Amino acid sequence: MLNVLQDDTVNPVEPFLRTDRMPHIWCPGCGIGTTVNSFARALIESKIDLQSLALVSGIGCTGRVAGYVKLDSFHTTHGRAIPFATGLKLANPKLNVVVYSGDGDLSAIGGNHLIHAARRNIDLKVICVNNLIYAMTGGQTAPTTPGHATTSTNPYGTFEPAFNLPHLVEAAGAVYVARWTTFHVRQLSRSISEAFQKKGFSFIEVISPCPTLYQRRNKMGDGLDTMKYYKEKSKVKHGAPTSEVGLTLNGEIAVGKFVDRDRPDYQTMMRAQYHESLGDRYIEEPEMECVCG
Amino acid sequence: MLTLTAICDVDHTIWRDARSIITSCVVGKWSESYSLPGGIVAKGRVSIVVERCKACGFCVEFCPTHVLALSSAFNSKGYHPPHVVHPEKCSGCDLCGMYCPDFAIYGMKVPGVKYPDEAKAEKTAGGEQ
Amino acid sequence: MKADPHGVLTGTHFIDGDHACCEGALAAGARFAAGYPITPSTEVVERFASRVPTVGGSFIQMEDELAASIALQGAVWGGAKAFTVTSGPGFSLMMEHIGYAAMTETPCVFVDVQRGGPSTGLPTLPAQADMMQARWGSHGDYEIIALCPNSPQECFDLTIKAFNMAEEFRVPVMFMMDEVVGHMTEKVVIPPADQIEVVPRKHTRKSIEEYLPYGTNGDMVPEMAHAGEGYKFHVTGLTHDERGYPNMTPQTQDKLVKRLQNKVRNAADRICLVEEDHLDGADIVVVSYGITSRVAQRAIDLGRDRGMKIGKLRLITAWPFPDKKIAELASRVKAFVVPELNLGQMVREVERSAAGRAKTFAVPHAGGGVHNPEEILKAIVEASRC
Repeated sequence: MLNVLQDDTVNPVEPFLRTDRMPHIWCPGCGIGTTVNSFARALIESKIDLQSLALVSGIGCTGRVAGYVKLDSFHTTHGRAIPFATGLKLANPKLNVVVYSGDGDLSAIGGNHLIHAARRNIDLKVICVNNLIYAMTGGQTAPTTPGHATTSTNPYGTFEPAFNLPHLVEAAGAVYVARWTTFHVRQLSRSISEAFQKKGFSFIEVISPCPTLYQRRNKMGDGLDTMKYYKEKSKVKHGAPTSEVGLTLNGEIAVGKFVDRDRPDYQTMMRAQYHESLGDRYIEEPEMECVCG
Repeated sequence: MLTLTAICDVDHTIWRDARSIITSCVVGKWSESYSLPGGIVAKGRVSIVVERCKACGFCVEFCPTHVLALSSAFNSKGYHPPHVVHPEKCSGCDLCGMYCPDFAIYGMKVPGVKYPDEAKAEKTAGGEQ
Repeated sequence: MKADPHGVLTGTHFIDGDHACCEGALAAGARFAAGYPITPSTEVVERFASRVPTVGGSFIQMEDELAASIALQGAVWGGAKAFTVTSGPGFSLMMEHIGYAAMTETPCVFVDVQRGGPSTGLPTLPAQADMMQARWGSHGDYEIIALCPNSPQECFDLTIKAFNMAEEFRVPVMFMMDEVVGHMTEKVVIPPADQIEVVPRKHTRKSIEEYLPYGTNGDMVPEMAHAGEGYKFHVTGLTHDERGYPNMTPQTQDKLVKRLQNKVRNAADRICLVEEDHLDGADIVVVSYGITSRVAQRAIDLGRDRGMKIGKLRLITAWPFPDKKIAELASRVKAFVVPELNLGQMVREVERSAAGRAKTFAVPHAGGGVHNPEEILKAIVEASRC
């Protein structure tokens, strides 16, 4: 017998959503929503105090995450989520600051900020949803688009080498680098939880379908077909050298935790330096009574 | 509470009636919980927010025990939401919920459910409690 | 409220405009700056970098002006008063984020120590050619406030005012210095903290349930909250409604953008600061700002020595432009003389506001130096003959 009930149980992700804005704008089969599920479960697992959590995103499909999560959230300008997050963290070091943005936003226009924040080891958790394309604007080539893919700005096929993002951020100095796909929902959640335990620049790349543009233009099926491809072609390679995890069109996807090292984060180094140079004269805690009165 | 007479290959009329009940609920969701033969309740159950679904098929594909299938009903955007076709196989693992990009489905364990053979096995394992 | 004494370097100092600006920021309560080196502004943040660790705050030199101009906004939402400094080329790079500050109503200060342009131009020499850019540089309809100091003392005093106006109206304020004012060393008196008025952040007292990030109660300036306080608010550069949620319709756009404009324009009388002298009975009024106003003063004095009836109007606030003042004067004076270190920018505003009732004479200068007082006097004499 099929019963239709009034139900007052709640989806675990629901308290983290601005339910007054559902349904969201992401396409059927897009993986961004799936990453938000993993994110929400990581928050639950890590028992993070939601009041101390701030989420910053840039522009693009993934950038819209900021608008759908029920947290202090900032939808900033294209490519500049990371410097905004840096200012936010420095002004209030007690905040847990997450940057949630896309591959074009973080590695093209935001590329400079990505490498400098990694170099400085700013204590940020960066979740980069990589759908290998500029989705929001209609499917243009991104620095992560693999060679020989068709995009709207490379209608005859791309020929540029693509960024290997884990390699880039490791070289720049990130202390935690992982890659999963939207198929790896539990592993992604675990990586996000691990990143929350780490102090310093953490970067988690999530390969996600863009069925409307990347997959459609390249005749790769829909979101479900892509998820099946991820399931089939992903290979877990924890600790693999990041130079070897580049992506190709329809090729193997190396996933796993590639880098997990310890390096003092920006604020730790800053404070140490000031303590050494200024001794007692250094005032460590930013004093904010002068702002609100 | 409307009781429907079939689980799959459902007549459109019945689903339309179901939908009209559903959309008059607060969030437009429906919950499926099953009484199985022998009075057993499934270990897990699934809750679907019909209006959010975009019929991507992730939940259907990645349910480890193939509990779901896309229904022939439509939500108001024209998508076919999933429905439960093998309720007895639902373990409440919530993989459907973790995969759903639209936050339209989630699974939960029904508290305290044991199948008769499990209950028997526990009894024979003895009083360790 | 009164200034926090930690940041106030009370005393009599002999410092240049850049240094005085930094002290003004600290006195106003600024505890965060993000910057990128660019001549002739760098000294402001160099001083801030050395002062702020002992005051309680932070400075970070970012990788470019794009980063600096948004890092400071992150700091504002994290609870600090924040600013950045730059000059022409950096100012151009910051334009997108000035627009973001205007759209999200982030109170902050952008200091532009103007130098010769366009492009790399004259890095170590003055100009006043960013004045229109300060007002219109970012895309879309928005309002900003711009202040022009003409001495190191004003670099201190008006920086405090810039922060105060930023907090009161929740706008980005452009602090339009120039290379001469920035690099000239003069006496700067910094009073005790309890003599300095500072405007606190308009922080909401509403409960989490009631609070609307962009809701207003008629005064057109919404109350602010900071990240980490439990309000779980959303800030976006997209056109948004009172909840801060993107709402991209013509109706919401109309409501929002007009409010952003009117919250400043309706208070123009309070915001427009000018220094006036001998306006009654004047035939000619010299309108100037920044370093040019000091050269103009010499020209005015020379003219008055010759018996001419010359009034002085110095723009302390350049934007919003004091058009009512000019319009009123235009009905009773013969002409305006507007010397600027550019090929004609604020003179267009004077001309527009005068609406033909008085003549307007520009005294342009391509930049790289200051006017010769005789050039300005020549224009005054020519104006008096019309």
